[in-house]
Amino acid sequence: MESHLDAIHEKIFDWLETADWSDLTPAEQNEVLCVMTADQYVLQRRVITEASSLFADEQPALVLPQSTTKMALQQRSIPLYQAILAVAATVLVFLFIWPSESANQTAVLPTNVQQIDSVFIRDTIIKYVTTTQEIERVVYDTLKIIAERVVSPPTTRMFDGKPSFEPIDITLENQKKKGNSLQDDNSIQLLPSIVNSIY
Amino acid sequence: MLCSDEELMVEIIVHHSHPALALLHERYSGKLYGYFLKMMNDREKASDFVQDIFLKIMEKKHLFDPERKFQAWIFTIASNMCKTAFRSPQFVALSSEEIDQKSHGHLSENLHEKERFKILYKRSLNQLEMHHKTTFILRYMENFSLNDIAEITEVSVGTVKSRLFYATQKMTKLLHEYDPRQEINLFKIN
Repeated sequence: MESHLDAIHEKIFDWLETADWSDLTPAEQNEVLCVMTADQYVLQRRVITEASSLFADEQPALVLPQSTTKMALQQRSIPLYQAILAVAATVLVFLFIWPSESANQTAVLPTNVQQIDSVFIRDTIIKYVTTTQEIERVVYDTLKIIAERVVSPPTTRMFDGKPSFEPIDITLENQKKKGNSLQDDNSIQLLPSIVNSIY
Repeated sequence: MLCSDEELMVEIIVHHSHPALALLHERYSGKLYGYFLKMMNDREKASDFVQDIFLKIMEKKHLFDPERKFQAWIFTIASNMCKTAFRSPQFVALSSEEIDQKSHGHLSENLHEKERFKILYKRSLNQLEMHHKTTFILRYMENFSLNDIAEITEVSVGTVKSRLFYATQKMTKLLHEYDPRQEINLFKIN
């Protein structure tokens, strides 16, 4: 903590700020002379009064820093015609660039289908669909062959031509016993004529 | 409409108003440049400090108390910047000879008496301790009231008076040491 001035020093301090040596009353001058000489008072007074003019010629114009503040950009306004011109220029540039961009795309697509990124995935899919169709055709052909095999008559048969004998009617109806008589027996005809001659 | 500094500051805090900042810059850039120049004895540094202080205002605007005087607040920041610069190892205080060179070249015998006094004055001002120099410049060069200086330097008014008295006394002593003719010439000038 710095010490404060005592009463006499505080008085002299006030006089130094406000009055020249010649403006002081003799009583005041006597009080000053208790602390310092008249020359010292005059020099101290001069130090105070000259201070304000010492740097008077060294005040250049300063410019407010604008680009460094984020606010400067947000607050800036431009004339309406500039805004309209900017929008029109953007549209023109967009229209000028857009068709050439699409043309470039079509030129590049066929040669780089496999190598490039996801932009060309659509083309890869198209190729895949084509492959699937081929497979289907193969399957269809196979099926056709199978169908032909099924539909066409067999070339070789186990029993070809007419049977060498009349098949015996072995249905239950014919096997029904009509009686014990030999005449009722159908199988008699298979027997030698000797049997027939008996009857 | 003429707004007070404090109103402009509120405008900056609430609406981030760039025109308000520009107006404050217009009002204070010269004063601050002068203050920094006197404190640092370096035009470039003074100019940089002015730029920096307005950026600081934008960064620290929320710390401003609308009840307080803006001028006292901004000079408190300025004083603290100088204090920090003096403490910095990068800061090299100019020697008396360098000050002479920068301002008016060598101190020749033939130099006009008033010019000579100016050079010696700057040299002795540069020899003051930091707190004395700050108080002296604020009072006698920037014309602040004792109460404002007390607020800026965060000491009592009594301490401000004491600092001023001893700073002036030391300056006088240094001036006399540099050129004993000063006292003799005083009566011629005045």
